[in-house]
Amino acid sequence: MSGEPYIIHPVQVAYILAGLELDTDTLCAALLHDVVEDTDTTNEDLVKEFGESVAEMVSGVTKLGKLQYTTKEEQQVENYRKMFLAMGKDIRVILIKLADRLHNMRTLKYLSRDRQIANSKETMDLYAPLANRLGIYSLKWELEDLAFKYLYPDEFHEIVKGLDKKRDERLAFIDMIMEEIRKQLKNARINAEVTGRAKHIYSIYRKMQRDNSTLDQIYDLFALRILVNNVRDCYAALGIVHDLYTPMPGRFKDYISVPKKNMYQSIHTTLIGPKGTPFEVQIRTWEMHRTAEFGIAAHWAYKEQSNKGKKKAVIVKEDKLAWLRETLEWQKDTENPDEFMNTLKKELFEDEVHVFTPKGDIKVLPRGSTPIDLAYAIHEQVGHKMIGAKINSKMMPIITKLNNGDIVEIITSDSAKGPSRDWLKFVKSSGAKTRIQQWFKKAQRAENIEKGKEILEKDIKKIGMKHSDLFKPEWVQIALDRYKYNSVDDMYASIGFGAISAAKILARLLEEYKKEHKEEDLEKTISELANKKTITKPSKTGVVVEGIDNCLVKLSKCCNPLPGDQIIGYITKGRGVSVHRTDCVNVKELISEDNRIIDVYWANEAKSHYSVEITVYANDRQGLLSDVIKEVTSAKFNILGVNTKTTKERIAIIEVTLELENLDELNKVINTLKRIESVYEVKRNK
Amino acid sequence: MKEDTVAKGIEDVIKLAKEKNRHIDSRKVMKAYNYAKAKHRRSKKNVR
Repeated sequence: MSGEPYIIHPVQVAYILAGLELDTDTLCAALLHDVVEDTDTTNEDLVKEFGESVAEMVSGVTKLGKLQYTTKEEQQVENYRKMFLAMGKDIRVILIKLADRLHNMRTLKYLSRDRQIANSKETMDLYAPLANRLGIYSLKWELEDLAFKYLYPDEFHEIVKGLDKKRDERLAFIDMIMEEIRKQLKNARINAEVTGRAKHIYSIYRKMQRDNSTLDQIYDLFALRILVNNVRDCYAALGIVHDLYTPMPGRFKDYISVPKKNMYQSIHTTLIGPKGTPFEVQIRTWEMHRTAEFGIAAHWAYKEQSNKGKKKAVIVKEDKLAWLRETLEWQKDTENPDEFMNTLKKELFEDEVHVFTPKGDIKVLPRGSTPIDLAYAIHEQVGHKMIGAKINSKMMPIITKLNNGDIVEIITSDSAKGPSRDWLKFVKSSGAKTRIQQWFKKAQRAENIEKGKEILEKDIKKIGMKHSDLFKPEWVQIALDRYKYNSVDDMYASIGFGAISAAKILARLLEEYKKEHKEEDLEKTISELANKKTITKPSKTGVVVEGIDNCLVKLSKCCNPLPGDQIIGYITKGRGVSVHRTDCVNVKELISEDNRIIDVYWANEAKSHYSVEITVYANDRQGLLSDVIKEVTSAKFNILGVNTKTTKERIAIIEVTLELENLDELNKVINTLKRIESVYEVKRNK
Repeated sequence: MKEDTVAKGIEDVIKLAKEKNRHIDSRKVMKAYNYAKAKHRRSKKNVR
């Protein structure tokens, strides 16, 4: 406890925000940011007194009630989630939160050591990276230095002491350089301000860690900044400093032509000064400097409406927050708070890679991105229609990780089937992930409806009935009501997705069917069938049902039995006997209903045509499909249908439906197909 | 903490805000300050 009156804190928070040029409502919300949490004030009170905008901002920074969560961690993560959702709507919420955090860090000395560590860790993990991501360097540096001071006090004080020791010597060095540069800029008639600044303590520490060096071994502890009026002068100033001092190879970065994702623009170059001492120079315009200091806050501007003289806050360059909105969009479906935090932290710390489109546009993507990420960064439809990618003019797999400077051409096709689920494993950007997920949500519904219909139809056939027998509107409505579906499509989609089994729906429909058909005495039918004399007259299908004449026999579609196959009969409800192969996947289920299984066999004179499905697996090559068709037709077998697809590993899967007489013919076809070049497996479908 | 990073009171906030943004409605800011001050004074958590 500092013992200060509480109002001091909100005043200091408002002061930080005033320095960032924020508007009236943000300053009001900053002053009021704790009143809902700590006093009897309600959000409605604030709406009444200060308007929606102020109230919403205060609500965004107000922590959630403590009773809803089981653990402290869970509550904390939910607080973050709430804050980030509010921030997605109005970025000023996070500016208040950052200012609040900064003042809390400035007054951290009043808290216990445990709290100091916990708050500093949170600042280092979340708030400083967030300030960095929003480009507010003025807050970022101070947050980092303060957090570093409490997390690593010994290292912090060692660096501060070390900097003080040689301070005069270094200042003299930098003054000399500044004077020389100022003189040359004036000669070139470039209007510029040249300033020197000490590097931030945490950035020095990081450099020491990275290069495994001591403070004495780091020479560019000071940096120069040259601020000019326009971009042309930036490059002219760069020419002058490169003329004066030798640039250090590999230490030049042009963030003017390729701005950082957080809008930061500047030229960075490290030069070798007198006696070989290196120093860094940053060159940028005043406007870029303002963006560098204030980041996203710099893009809050006021616009006068000339006709009415009213003031209106507008957000400029709103697209700069696209990354945040995309992350939040992606997170909408995330129930798990840990996953939310992990994704958010990943987004905040994400390094970048800059790639070019063939037209020369630069796209900034998270490091590790693939051409898929780029395709979605260009446009959602480019992503959905992507079929390949050329990296530096060479066809490459679409999951190749992109490097800085790669020129990437996305190849699309109108007939592309859309993204693959596997893509989700490779994409890095939240934007691409979100769009792929959304595509699946949409596309899968249609797919699931179709799949659901198919499953239900199959099950109806299995029990020997027809769709029209069971799908009476009033019965369907009963099933819909029972399982709370709004429409038949919802029901199909649910079956297709696997949320409900088709059997459940079918049972409900059958119940209604039975009611109407006076509960057909199934048991009686079965016993009548079983007690009939043995007659060996085959049915039209070429199958003889043991002991039954003239009964309806159907070859089941699930296994398409052929003469020569071991078969079994199943007495269906009022639809005769359905014949399955003994190795059919559905037989196991049927056998459990012992009293409905009946012996069947192929009649010797059976001479009919049967439909059989086979699948050919091959390494894809040109002319493969035509070879398959040629071989089958030249063996004088009839093809009823062909369906082909190729996997991303270039495996061709060809499904062929044939018309055959018996098992021998099937074996003959399989052996013929196996001899085709690049075919490695031919299987009969179960 | 540097001196220029600390406001001595709400007047400093309004002064800086006005310097940086000429459209600031100082009356509304003052109203928010007085409201917050009164609320915090009456609250149990009135010191920090």
